[in-house]
Amino acid sequence: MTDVVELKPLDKSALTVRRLRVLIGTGVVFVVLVAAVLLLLTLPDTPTSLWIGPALVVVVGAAAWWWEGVEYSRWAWRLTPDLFEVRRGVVFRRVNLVPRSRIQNVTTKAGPLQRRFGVLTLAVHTAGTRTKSVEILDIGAGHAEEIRRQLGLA
Amino acid sequence: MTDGLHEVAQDADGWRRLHPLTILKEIGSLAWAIVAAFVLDFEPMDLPGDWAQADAVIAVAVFVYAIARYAFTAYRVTPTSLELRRGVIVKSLQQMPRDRVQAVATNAGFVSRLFGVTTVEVSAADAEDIQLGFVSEEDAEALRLVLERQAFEPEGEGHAVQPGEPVATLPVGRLIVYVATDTVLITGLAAFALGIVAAALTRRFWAPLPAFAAMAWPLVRAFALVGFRSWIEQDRLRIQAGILGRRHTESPLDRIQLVQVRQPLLRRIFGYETISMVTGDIGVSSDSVQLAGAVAPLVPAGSWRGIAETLLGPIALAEDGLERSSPLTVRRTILRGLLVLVPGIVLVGWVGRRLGLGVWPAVALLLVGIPALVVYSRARWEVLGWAVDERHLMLRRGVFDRRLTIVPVHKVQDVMVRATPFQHRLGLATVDVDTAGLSLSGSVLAVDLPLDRARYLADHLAEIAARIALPDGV
Repeated sequence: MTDVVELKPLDKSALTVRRLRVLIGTGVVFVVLVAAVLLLLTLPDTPTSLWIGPALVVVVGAAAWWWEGVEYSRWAWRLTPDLFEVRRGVVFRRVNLVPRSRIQNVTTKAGPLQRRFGVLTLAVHTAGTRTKSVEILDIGAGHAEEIRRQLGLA
Repeated sequence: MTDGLHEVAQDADGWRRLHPLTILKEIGSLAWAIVAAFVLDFEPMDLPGDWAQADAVIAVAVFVYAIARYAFTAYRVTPTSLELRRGVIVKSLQQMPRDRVQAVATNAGFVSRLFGVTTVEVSAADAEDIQLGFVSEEDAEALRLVLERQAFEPEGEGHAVQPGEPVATLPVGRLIVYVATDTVLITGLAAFALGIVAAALTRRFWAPLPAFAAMAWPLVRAFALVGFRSWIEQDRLRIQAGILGRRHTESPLDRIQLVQVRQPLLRRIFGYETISMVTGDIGVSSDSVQLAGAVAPLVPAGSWRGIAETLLGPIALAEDGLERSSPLTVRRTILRGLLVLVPGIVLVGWVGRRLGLGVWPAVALLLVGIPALVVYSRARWEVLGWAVDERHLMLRRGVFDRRLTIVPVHKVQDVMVRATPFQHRLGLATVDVDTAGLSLSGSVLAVDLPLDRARYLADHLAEIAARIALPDGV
């Protein structure tokens, strides 16, 4: 490629959204578990070691918080005159290349949390039978609009 | 546009009914109601007066509904699309743009052939096929001709092919070799023999039965290949096979996504190979893709180039010009093999001790298994290969079931370079190529390339593909 287009990382808000998801997910499990433990402790002969459960959830949550940071940093994408490229993966690394002329359609979707932070999920669909779409999770809405515009879809 | 279609049973808008025999098919699809009628008629149920006649009511209702379904089903070919409307209560209209048609297949079972009717299956690049069944044979032929006229317009460089040029046939002698070299059949036969021995030893006489059943499948499949013939007509590949039930497929050459040459060990020994192709329709519903895409079930080894060039145009790549995967792949194959072999040796050792045979079975497995694994791993590396130029991608895989896959570069939909942690440590990656067709027997993969070669291959493929615009992207 002669005209080099830099690989772009995801916006910081993507990390915020992902960590919030972890926080909400572990938060819900934590609250439920704590409630369950408190309930069980009202019964006689319940070992207090049950608190290990909620404690484990906190540890797992913390690990997931850290992991999201690592995983987030591995995401990169670019749209060159020829290709749409997405790189991702910490353990299993993947680079997806989609020739621009093979793109059938582009879909974007955004949940409430994503909308609050101005990010969305962008999927580029091809007619391929196995990799039906290449997705970027939590791409900035502005970038997504830019991609759609460059592909002549917006 | 009604050219070629008969003027019978066709209204002003060009809507056309299916063959009246379709009613029988509709009744068949309502069989559950008929079964229900019989159940209601069952004496001991002793239903109160009104219900006693329920069976008759249901039977009449089924018949009326089947006729109504038939009456409400119609298709037509407009200048731009093929349309199918159906439904008595919930109405549906299915439209397929004619320029999206990937393949037209007709399929007639034994009974349908007696009545001169057939099922027509028109597929596009999405999952929704249009199935017309039954249609009289003349209508099917007319429909085929009409659909092709526009759908399969050649584009760009035409293939230098004379109309009606035969590609391959399968004479009876070849068919016998085809069956005799079928890996599944031979494996089944071996299992059957073992089953008989087991039955004789243990007096469990059902022992060979599962293997016998396993052998039936390749035989049925081979039966569908009787009278096989494939030929090129203008810009289309036509395939016809079967005597009792006949299948007829045709695909525009420019919709072919890849061509695969299979040389399973047994066929390689006898000097034969099998050539298949895949088109962009993922809806080849009933039949296996293998069968529908068989271009040449059994031809002398080395015939592939001529046939592949007929289908894809001139191919500059050659098998001896293939670039090897990284030699590190030998190490990876051995390691992976050990993951199976070592527990196997431990298991055999344990069983041997239990049976009072001592450690010898385990030692024997060790002595045979390790060298075999090393030999296999080296052989695998020697088979793995890839080559690419401006027009085609050629990949070779498989020690026993050797497959040579040729993909026109402009059919590439997307490319993925991926690496497991183990590959990553060794600086290797696998390139996974996706087209609009189902890949035959596993994915289109270039395994364990050095990272820079993998990136080169992926970039090269994606960039060339990007430069060639396709009418519908398929």
